[in-house]
Amino acid sequence: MKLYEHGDMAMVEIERLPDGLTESASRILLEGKSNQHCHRGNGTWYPRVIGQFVVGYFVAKKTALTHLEHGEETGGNLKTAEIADGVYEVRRQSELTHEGMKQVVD
Amino acid sequence: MRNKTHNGNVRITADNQDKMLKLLARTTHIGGDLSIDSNVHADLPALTSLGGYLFIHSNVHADLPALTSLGGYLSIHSNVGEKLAKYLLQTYAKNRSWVLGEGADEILLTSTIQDIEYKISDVAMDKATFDAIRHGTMTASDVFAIENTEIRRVAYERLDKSKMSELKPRVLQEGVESNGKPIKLVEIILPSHDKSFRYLVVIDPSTDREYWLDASSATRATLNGIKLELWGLPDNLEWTRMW
Repeated sequence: MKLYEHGDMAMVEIERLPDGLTESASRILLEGKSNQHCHRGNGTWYPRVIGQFVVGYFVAKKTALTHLEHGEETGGNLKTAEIADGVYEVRRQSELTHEGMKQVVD
Repeated sequence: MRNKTHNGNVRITADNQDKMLKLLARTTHIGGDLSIDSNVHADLPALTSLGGYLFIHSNVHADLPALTSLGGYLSIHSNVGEKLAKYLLQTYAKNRSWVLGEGADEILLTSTIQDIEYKISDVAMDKATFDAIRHGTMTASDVFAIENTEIRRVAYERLDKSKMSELKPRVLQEGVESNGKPIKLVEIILPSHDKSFRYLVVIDPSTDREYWLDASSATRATLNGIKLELWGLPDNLEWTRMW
């Protein structure tokens, strides 16, 4: 099972997509609030928020995630991170405070 | 004679500044945006109008003595000089969006511009936090009271680390992640709360920045287990790759 960390986003390989998802035209998986830095991916994106962590599902095929800061330098403005083909659950990091879980806001 | 109008955007960088400044020496109008990158000395004596945005990055010397018209918003991170600062303020304080960095003129930073965003290291924050960071008046407790992890990171980077002693930091566990970066669990005591907090301290693999992530209510025993818990993941997983 593949597991990738991409800044405050994690991608966990799963066997298949859950039922009832709707594909999004957007390629933005997650976006920072204080710096507007986006985690993007050229694949098929199904946003679906479940609880504190899951923000959606992603099907990768020859996918390179792009971000201003996270990935390998490729000469352009954005860095790229190549992930293996597969179906992924996309998760957002949280902090585990005394008051309970709080989504990481960056 | 050169054309006095430049259509499109202009970006002056440390690498192209000689060529660009020669090209723009007599230019009176730039149709698009003007971006002056860090560590550039840019004198554009003839420029009177700019159709798009004005970006002046940090550590820039920019002299735009004739500028009297601007179409887009302003993003200023360096001292532009009193004359230009006053002009921009008088003309655009109420009808443009602004982004100011800590290097901007004090006259701008203390003004009452209506639509404004303050940034340090490209991270946006409220004015009080911005001022506390740039003036170095934040206490260590103040830093750890910041909820936004990116702002907390910037504030921590700028914190005089001798102030950390007030929090009585204690390293509970230390280790190395599978990518070779150090990871540790640190306990601190925030006087304002009169109780201890645990932070997982990780190094971002792409930027090498240090992040303190609140793990006070984490339940797991290992460092990787706690890290996985921050994403709600099972305890027994290994990371394939981290960026």
